Formats: sequence, structure tokens, C-alpha cells
Amino acid sequence: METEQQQKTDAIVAQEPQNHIMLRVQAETQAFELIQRQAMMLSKSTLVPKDFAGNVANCAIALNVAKRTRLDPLMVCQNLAIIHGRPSWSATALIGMINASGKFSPLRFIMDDDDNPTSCFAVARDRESGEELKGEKITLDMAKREGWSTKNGSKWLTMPGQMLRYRAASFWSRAYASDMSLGMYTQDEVRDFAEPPRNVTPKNPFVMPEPEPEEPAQEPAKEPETIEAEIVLEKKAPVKKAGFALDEMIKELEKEVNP
Amino acid sequence: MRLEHDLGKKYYEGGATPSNLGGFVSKSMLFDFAKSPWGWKHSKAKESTPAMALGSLVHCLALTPKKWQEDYAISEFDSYRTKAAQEWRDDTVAKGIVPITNEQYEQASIIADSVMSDDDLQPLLVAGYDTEVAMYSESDEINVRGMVDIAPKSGDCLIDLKTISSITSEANLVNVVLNRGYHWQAAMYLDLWNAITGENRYRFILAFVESSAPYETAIVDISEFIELGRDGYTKAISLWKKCVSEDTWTKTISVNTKLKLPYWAIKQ
Repeated sequence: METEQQQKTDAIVAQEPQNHIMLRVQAETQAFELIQRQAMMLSKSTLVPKDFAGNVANCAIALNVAKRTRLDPLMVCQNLAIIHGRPSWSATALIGMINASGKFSPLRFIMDDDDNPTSCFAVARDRESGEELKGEKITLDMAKREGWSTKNGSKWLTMPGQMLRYRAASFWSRAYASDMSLGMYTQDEVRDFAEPPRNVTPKNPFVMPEPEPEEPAQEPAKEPETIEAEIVLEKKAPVKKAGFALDEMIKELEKEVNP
Repeated sequence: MRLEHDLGKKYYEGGATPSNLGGFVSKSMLFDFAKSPWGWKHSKAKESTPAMALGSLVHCLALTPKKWQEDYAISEFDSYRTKAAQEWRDDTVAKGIVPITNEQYEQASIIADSVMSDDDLQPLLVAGYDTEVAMYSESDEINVRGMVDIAPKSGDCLIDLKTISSITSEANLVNVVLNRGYHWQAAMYLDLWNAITGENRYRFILAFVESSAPYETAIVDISEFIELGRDGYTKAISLWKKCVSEDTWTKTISVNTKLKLPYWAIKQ
């Protein structure tokens, strides 16, 4: 009797983890279906930007980001752009999220020169510890060396102050508030970091690559035109008179050497 | 690299087979091979199905109408039940000629007319065209060949005829193209053609025609599939080279794979 009871208990204990897994799978399935319905609705809205309009998958990602950052889904859609295939925040949204988080004092930007800035870093204070949190100093020299300011149409050349602030904010957020940016770059960073477009058109495998142009070959030294000389000789002197002709030529040569 | 005209059946000689690995590789051979090199290496020669036979006859009547009697002969008999009929059939087959019935000839003629007189196809042919142009070249040290059905004398495209049981819908044609590797054919034929002629054709047109009355046609451009096709056939050529040189023939699933439970099964 006791053994039978023990067996029943063992069976229940063994079944428990399996039930737990099934419940989790069921919960995940329900959550997935819910987010799919929400994404469907969002994608049909005329207020969402083009990256999300009619794109249920992108909307589902935006909803996921909204859930993790505790932001409004529409706000996420409006500030999250897909650039070169990467989701990225607008710098202003990122600054707004940091300021609204309540964890830090509002982000401030320290420029070396207000009129003609060449460097900037962001700073804020941790509200809990009171510690001052300084971000990486961004300089125009850095922008040049990293190739950010040398791209066609770069805003670093026309709006250096604004770009210094935006870049300082995104560096600061990655150092102190990476939970807000979720590891995503800002839109201007993605544009700056993007490699120049490459020609990805596959090559025709039946066409041999063009050979490297070779150095022009030197013209071979001209061989003595012996055949022509023979012909001339033949014209001047038939074969049977070759001996005579040669004698004449030798005499001519002797005249030239010893006039 | 070369183009050849009027090869007829000669074109099909010297192709790569499981027993002749040094032969020319073609799109259809590569497509079969890439699905499972092991399966291809251990396969037997494909037997002609009635659909394939009708397709060949349509091709012949549409593309080389003056030469159809070199390859086909219409039977005077209603069936092959009699000794005389059987003898005629066997003699014909022995000569390398395919015996066909009058009904088959008439049906194939109507199909051929239907596609060649199509209003969407005609504008592509106004400048004149060559048919059944064989192309030979080499890629990655592998001999490759292909046969263009229709090469307009001028223009930016090559055209291939396809008989199909039912056109059904645009989505169906997309599936047909991808499942039968017509996008590989498009990429490979354009690459071969451009490499040999020095031209830059970039469109591949499929002229579909249904094999049953009223023989509806669909002229479709599959240029958008070319990049995918090129990726497919070039990888297949590399795989072919590797398999032949190492004499190892991978299976469809070549490692001890752990199958994953799909989402829909969990949901059930």
C-alpha cells in the first residue's frame, strides 16, 4: 500500500517539470499571439512612419522595444528608424528617455567653445548616489579620423555643435544607460558608421577577369635583311656572275677605305 | 567559349552523368545534383514521361518546324496491337525517331502555334530570332553548356518555352520557377550568352503555354530572380567541382542533425 502511494507520488513529481514546461509554452504562445494582434493593429495605422506602416514584423519589434523600455509604442515607432537595415534611435528621443528616466539629472553638454565648438562631452548626475557621470569627450578631430565628417553631405561640416552634442549623448548613454538604448545606435551614428555602398552585383563566372596591362614589349632588334640583300645581289649580278660581282664590290670597298 | 546552331540531338551528347563525370554540366543536371549529390550519383537515367514527350514535340514544332520529321514520325496505325504496327514502331525507334500519333501531332501543333503567335511574345520577335542556340563555356574549370530556345536578333532578353499543365495564378508560376530552377537557368543562360557574345542582355522571358485546351499562354519576365539563380548555380558548380575532385558525394542531410520541433507542432 505504502509502495503504491510512493509510486504515485514519484509519478506526480516526475510529471511536474513537464507540466511546467507546457504551461510556459502555452503562456509564450498566448503572449506571441497578443503581440501579433497588437502589431497588426499598429501596422494598419496611418500615423506610424513608413518603416512600420503595413509591416507587422517591424511593428512587433517596436512593441517589444516599447515593453522593454516602458515607452509608448507609437513613440517608439516615431523615434525608431530602420537605417541600413539596423533599428536605430533618434538622438533626441534617446536624450529624452534619459531625462525622463528619473535615474539621472537632465543631461548637460560641456562644449570647449560655445561659438566655434571643437569638442563636447555629456554629463549628468546619478540621482541615487549623487555621483557625477561624465561621458566620452567627442572632438571634431575624432570625427575626421573616424571618417564621420568626410562622408558626402555630412552634417559634421554644417552643424558641428549639434552633431557633437548628439554623439556625446549616445556615447554617454552607452556608458551609463545602456538599458535604455538597448544597445542600439542613434540614427546619425548608423549613417556615419555605415560603410560606403559596395557593388554587390555578382560577376559573370564565364567572363575571365581583364588581364593587367603589361609593359609594352621592347621592339626586337631588327635582323639584317639578308634575304633582300641576296635579291639585290641577284638583280645586280646573276648567280653565275657572283664571283665577278663580289670582286667589284671588294674593289669599291677598297676605294672607300683607301681613296 | 562558343555558340553553335542546328545541333539537334547532338547537343545532348557528352553531358555529365554519374558514369561520365567529365562531361558538360547543364542547368537541369546541376539543379538535380545540388538537391543531393549522393542521390544524383546513385541515380539512373531519367525516363521520359508523356508530359516530357509532349513538351519536346511542342519545342520542336515551335522552334524548328521544318525539321520535326527528323526526330518524329506519325504512325499510320490506330494502335500498336497488330504485328505490323509493332514492327513499324520498333523500326522507327531503332532509327532514333520518336513515333507519335496524329492526335499528338495535332495537339502539339496547336500548342506551338498558340505560344508562338502570342501577342505578348510577338513584339520580342519582330527583329528576327535564332532558335535552339547551343552555348558552351567554362566556369571554375568546369565545362558548362546551355541551349537557348529563342534568342532575338536584337534586344535585351533571351526566351525559353515552357509547357505547363495549368498556369493557375502568378503565385503558382513563382512556385514553378523556384521549384524547377528556372531562375538558375535564367542566370546561367544570360551569363553564358553575355560571356560568349560580349552583349549585355539582362532579361529572361519564360513563355508558358498550357498543355490542355484552350492552351492559355503567359509570357513572364523573371529578371528579378536572376541574382538568386546566379547564387544557386555558381554554388552548385563549386560543389560539383569539389565532389568530383574529392569523389565524395554529400547527402541531402550530411551530418547527424538534431531535428527541431516546429512552432506549429507545439501549438497543436
